[in-house]
Amino acid sequence: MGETGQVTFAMQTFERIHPVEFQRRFLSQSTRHSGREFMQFRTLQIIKGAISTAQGSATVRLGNTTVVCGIKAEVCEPDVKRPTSGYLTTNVELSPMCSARFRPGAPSDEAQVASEHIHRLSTHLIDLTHLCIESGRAAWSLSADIVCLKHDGNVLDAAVIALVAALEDLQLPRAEFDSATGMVSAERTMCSGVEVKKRLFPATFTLVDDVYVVADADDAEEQMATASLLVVINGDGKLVNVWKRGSGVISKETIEQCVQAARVRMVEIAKAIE
Amino acid sequence: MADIKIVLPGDIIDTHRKEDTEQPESNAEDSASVIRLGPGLLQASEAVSAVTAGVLHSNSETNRWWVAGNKRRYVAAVGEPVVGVVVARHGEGYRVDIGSAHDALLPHLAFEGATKRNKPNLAVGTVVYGRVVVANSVMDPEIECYNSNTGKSEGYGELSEGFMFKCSLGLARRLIDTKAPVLAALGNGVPFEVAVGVNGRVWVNAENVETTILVANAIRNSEYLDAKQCRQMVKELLEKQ
Amino acid sequence: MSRPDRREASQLRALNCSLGQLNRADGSTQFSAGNTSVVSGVYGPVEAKVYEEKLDRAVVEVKFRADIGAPTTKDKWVESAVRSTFEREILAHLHPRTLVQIVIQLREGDGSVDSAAINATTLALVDAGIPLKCMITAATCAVLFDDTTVVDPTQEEIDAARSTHTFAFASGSNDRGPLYVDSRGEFTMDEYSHCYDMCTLATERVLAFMRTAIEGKVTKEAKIGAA
Repeated sequence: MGETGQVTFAMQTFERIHPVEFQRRFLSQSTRHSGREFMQFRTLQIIKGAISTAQGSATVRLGNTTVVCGIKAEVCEPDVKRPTSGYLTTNVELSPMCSARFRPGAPSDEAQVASEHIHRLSTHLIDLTHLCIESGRAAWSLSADIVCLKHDGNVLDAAVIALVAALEDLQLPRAEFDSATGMVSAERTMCSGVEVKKRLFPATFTLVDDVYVVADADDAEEQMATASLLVVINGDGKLVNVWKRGSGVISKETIEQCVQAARVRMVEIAKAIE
Repeated sequence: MADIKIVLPGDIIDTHRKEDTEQPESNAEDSASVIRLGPGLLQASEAVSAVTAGVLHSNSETNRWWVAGNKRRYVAAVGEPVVGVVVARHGEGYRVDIGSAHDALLPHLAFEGATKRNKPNLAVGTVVYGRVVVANSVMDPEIECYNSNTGKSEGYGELSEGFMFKCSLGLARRLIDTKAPVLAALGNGVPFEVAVGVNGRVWVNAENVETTILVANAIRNSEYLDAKQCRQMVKELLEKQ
Repeated sequence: MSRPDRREASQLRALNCSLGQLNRADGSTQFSAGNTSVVSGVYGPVEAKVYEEKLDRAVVEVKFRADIGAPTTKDKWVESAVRSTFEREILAHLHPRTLVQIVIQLREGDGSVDSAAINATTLALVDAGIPLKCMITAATCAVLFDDTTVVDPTQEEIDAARSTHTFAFASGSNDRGPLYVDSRGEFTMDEYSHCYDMCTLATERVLAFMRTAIEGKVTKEAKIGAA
């Protein structure tokens, strides 16, 4: 207690007892509590093929956010409507392991929405007809499980990058369909990759406290978010997805600026994937 | 009827419309500076905007503005008569379902002549007619079955026998007026008792079950009928009986 | 160039709605645009479950049910879209510790389902008398492979489209920016801007339609009340 009646305490204490005001102090000074600038993303680290038991895998670290994507391949019968197509299913898991906000049990709404959104994006990634082994009889079914290990905001970006990297890492054994027995035999020693049509480069922008638009928000900033904007660009530089949620207002011009920023980010992600 | 103004949520209300045209000299300071906003209106920074859809009403003398719209879900307001059903008994009082988000509290002593030793014993399921005394968004509403100033029941209390049904809040507000055409028309044909709660619940009772049902049906039918149609409808119902 | 149902590129399908059809719900709408038809019912403010109740505002819950099949993550996705759009436009602080439940049932999906769900929900909330900051209207448009942009596409057009764009706006704030955006496919910034403008115009027409529909209902009730 100071002489003027002012209370002083450590920064960590302030952050604990009044997280919103703590963040505002930084934002109003055009900086962020992590020291980043508003449009600065966190450093990205990608490790391909970390899981030996999966046909393709990748670990993505986006600051403290850690996501692992593993792809398992199984042989199954193709859909009657699309006899020459295989399957790619995506599942995002946000377990209590990654953040105290999630409860054990059935997947949370957030996880289901993320799974669905990534599934919609995945149609841009690979041509499902490449997964065909024998038309109408056998095809590869890829299931991509994206597990969040550490949730410190912006899991969606990390998940999309992890999926892209894992698909590039994917090695499918050469499979042959024996029409006499109806069996598929796979040769583990003869593996080949699946062509990824175009890479996807996501960038998320978050409107914090209705005023500040920040790139790649961490968990503390996401708690104050009133809107979020996901921009996904493909390898050709074309937009693939613009997805704005939450009723905070992000003006048309700001969205255009975010798309520009996403193009800059695209180069960074491409470098990290290589 | 010609100049009814219907507003939608988000519409900005020009509250200075009236002052510019009429009575500029008489207590203009008071009325122009203080604007009283009733249901359905909210001040957002400088402007006043509507938050619900309905007809915009204003009183130029008191400078009150409000929006009248129809709803089906009751939100308790102080002083309004309501019909409710006892759903639970507690040490201090009863819990009464009045159709709002939270059940209302009815203290044991909020009845005419009730004392610590002598208080009415209401079973769960009893229909009561009461008046809202506490209503705000943070507390559960509270009702009483007497006028706490006079100590008299003034018609409030347990409603035994009879039949309770639900209707829209708009209809309930119209029925509160004793001159409501449907009630007047029915009253000319058959004797009956009625208790109208503005929470969209109406209790009726007549000498026999047939008449009670007839009255209830007539009131429910009157939702979209004007005075003339009401009289015709009631006449037809009474003839059928 | 011409569309399967011979509409102009910027023409919406015939809009139709009826308010208050469900007599058990506090507010409801049946909203349709051409063959796409949804029913939205609103309950509220009602008592919230103890574990989900918020002390300073009402909880908004959205349930979306598809016309056929078991619930999937697609439904969850639409729920999340509708909830995030409406969550802060509903003046939830006026009814703390309560729940506003929105149930959307798809009757027939023939394209532009997301925007139909948002439009129906706005009307149902108004019908229920839930305090709203503003009216929210949504529209979808699609960019076809021949580079033409069409408003309010049917499923047939969406399947043949290169990209689809759904925008939701709050009334009186089109200049401030969109409430909800979902643009998918493969598109350029110019195409996005063009769709933005087309949807802005389309939502204005949807708003005019809503206004007429609500005015019709309110006038009907007001006349009886005054008589």
